[in-house]
Amino acid sequence: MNLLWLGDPKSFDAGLVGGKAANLSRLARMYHRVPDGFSLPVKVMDEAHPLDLRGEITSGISDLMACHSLDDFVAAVRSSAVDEDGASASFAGQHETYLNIVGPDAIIEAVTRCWESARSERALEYRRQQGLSVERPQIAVFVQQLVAADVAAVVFSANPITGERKEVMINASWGLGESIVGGTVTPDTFVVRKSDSEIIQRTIADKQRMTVSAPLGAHEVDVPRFLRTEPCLTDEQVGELANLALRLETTMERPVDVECAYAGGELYLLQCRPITALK
Amino acid sequence: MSDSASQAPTAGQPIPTPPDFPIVWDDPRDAKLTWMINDKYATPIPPLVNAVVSAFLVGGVAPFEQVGIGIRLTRINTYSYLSIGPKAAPPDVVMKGMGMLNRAAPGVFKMMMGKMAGGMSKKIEADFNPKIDRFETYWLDEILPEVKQHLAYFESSDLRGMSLDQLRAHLTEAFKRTERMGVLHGSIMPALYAVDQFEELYCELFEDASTLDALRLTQGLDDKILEGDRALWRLSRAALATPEVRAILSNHAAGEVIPALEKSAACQPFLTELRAWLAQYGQRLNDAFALDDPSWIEDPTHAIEYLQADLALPEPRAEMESAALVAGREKAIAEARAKLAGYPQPIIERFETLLKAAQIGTVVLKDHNFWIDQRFFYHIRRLIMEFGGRLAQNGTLEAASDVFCLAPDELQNDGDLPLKALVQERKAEMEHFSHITPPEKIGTMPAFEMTEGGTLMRVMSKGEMGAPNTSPREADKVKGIAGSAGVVRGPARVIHSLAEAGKLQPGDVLVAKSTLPPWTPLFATASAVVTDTGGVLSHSAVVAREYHIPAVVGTDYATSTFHDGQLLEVNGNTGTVHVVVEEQVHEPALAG
Repeated sequence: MNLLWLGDPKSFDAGLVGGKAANLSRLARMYHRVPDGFSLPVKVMDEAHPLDLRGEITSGISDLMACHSLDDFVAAVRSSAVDEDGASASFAGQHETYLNIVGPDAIIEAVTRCWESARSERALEYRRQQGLSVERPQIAVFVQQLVAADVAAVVFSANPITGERKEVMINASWGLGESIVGGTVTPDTFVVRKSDSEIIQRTIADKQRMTVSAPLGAHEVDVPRFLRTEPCLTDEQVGELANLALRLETTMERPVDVECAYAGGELYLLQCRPITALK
Repeated sequence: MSDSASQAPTAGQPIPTPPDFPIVWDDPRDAKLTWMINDKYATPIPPLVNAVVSAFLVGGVAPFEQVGIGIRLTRINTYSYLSIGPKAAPPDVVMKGMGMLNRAAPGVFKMMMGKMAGGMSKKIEADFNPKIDRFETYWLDEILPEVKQHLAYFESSDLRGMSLDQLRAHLTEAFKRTERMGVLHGSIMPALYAVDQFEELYCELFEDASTLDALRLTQGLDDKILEGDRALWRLSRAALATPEVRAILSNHAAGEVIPALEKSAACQPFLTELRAWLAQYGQRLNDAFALDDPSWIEDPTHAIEYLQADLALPEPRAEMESAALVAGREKAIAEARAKLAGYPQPIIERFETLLKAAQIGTVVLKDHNFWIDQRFFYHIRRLIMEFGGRLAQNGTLEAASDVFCLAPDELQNDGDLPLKALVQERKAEMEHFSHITPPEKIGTMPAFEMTEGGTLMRVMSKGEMGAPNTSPREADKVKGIAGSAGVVRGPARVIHSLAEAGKLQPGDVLVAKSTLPPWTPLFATASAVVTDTGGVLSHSAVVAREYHIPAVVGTDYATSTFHDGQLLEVNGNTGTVHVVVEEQVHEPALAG
């Protein structure tokens, strides 16, 4: 069996599935709602071309659809390098991510592109700069159900701007998280004081752009005017997010940044990693 | 410089009046306002009609008053004039100051106006938004039941059994209810707003989508007007099944059909059915407030004309396009939903709320006309005519319809006024002014123009009112608003009233100031529609989309630019209409 399932103890090994998938597997196993998926481990990606794995990927998708009673499977396909998400260097954005990929053929194609991108000039240059090995790219590919986010949030368990560790900072905006991470939208900002969970800052931004999943792939569009200056989180949700960040900080024993999403009122954890450059 | 240009009144100054149109203001303060001719009435309006219309308007201005806009109607030299301005006009000195600011610092002035309009828009939106969120119940449970109550009141009153004094009291009550009906009519303004909001959201969500694309999602829904058309068509099937009826309908002019049917024993069952249709759907006037014209029950000629045309139609007019419209609507809705599937929930919810409100709004824009503009005013006419009939009977008036020449308080008077003489005087006055073209504007030029209209004006401009046309006037073409897509060529037919409907031939381009629901069947004959007034949600545009014919609306000048028989090209995509020059039609003519 070449696939490793999210939450499977074998998936806790970053050497097998990469840092991101390993992290999420541990989190999924513990107590958090993480969108389901599977990894194509490093060793498999090293030895086989994705096209050779067609059968397994297809049956993995069928299993996911059966398990979650889905009519079709909409995936996010991401690469995950073994030395990524370490405390010293963040690979955020350095490898390709494919969103809103529907059906086995498209997913296999996206896996292939991840596989190729790990060998791309841009990725190798980054590794060179970070003093990482450039000879043998050690990547796994992670295929995960895409949550059609109503609101995406990035939560820092310490204030990344002031370095203040007694505060949680939340950035949130409409749609998928790509517009926040990519800096194309000014998100709403909430700062929560850890000691008494008080929201001490609430800045509602004019959120002009959002990333949405669409039949032809995720893309960025204008937020309709009626929604732009509406707060995208309720106070309750701000509290829930701050709480989650605190629990993850405790688990990971250091300040973390957490990517999450609300979809249909449910909170999903999408990524969690240590804050790399805290003052 | 031409004469008219040199006489152009300046801001804040009295507007000079033509010598044949001297004005005596009842209230000198009215001279300070700007009055526009009410172009719904191109002809002199009888005093009693004016009184009913004014009572109706008093109720209808509520949404405007709420945001500080005052609207008044007055009758000057037998013509109806309308004034729109700040409800409580600021003192002269303030108006002058604003006029000066406008000239000295137009930028600052524009900003101030924008702020004012923004404030008004917020008020309007705060009032309308909760209504469109629950638009179906708003119309079905809050507005329509009261409308029907008023109708039931009039239906159940036994006019024949009333004494003259009882009729007087009834007339007073009718004026009160007309005012209330005006309020109800004004309260359907959110229907326009619902369609406007849906259309704006749709165009925001889907790049490159046009207003007409958005409106496709609201088409092909049934309404009371189509219901009447269908029932008339079914009547035509009954006519075809009875040879005697068929022969009479085929061989007689519309006006002679009923007397002929009455004489034939074999036609009696059909006549009963026809009368039942008229009782149900004939409670209408040819024009919204044409109270002095017979209703369709009194004079069924137009109904018979439509019925005669229906004989040749294999299915009801409304049905001919409806399957395609419904399919097109459902396809467009499914596509929109598929595109939005991955969007944040608040957007999907807003889309669904506005779609539903816009669909119901589209129906309400037509159904309210059936209930209020047609039925209610039919009852008012019936009451007035009964009253007039009594006065003619007892010798106070020459004829029942003379009653329209009198004012309400004159009708309440118990016999000491020389009513016959008053009628003669008023008739002479209307006759005199019917030969004079009333000036477009009278009173005082505004010190400044409202440069920003805000939400209410934007919404209104999409309906019957239309937006001011900024295109220059040209000899053989007009530019308006694209009301229904498609390009078509056909001979122009300028129709001023339903009485001229008979001259419209299949393939003709219907050119009119505006159209009204009783005109709807003409859309099955016309190849395109061009109007002077109205926006994309006006009756003309809505019905043209239903009949799949191109429409250009709000051109201002179509009826005064084109004349019968000119070959026109109507482009419903770009909103332009032009006269086709002969060379463009035929092969080049031989030289010499």
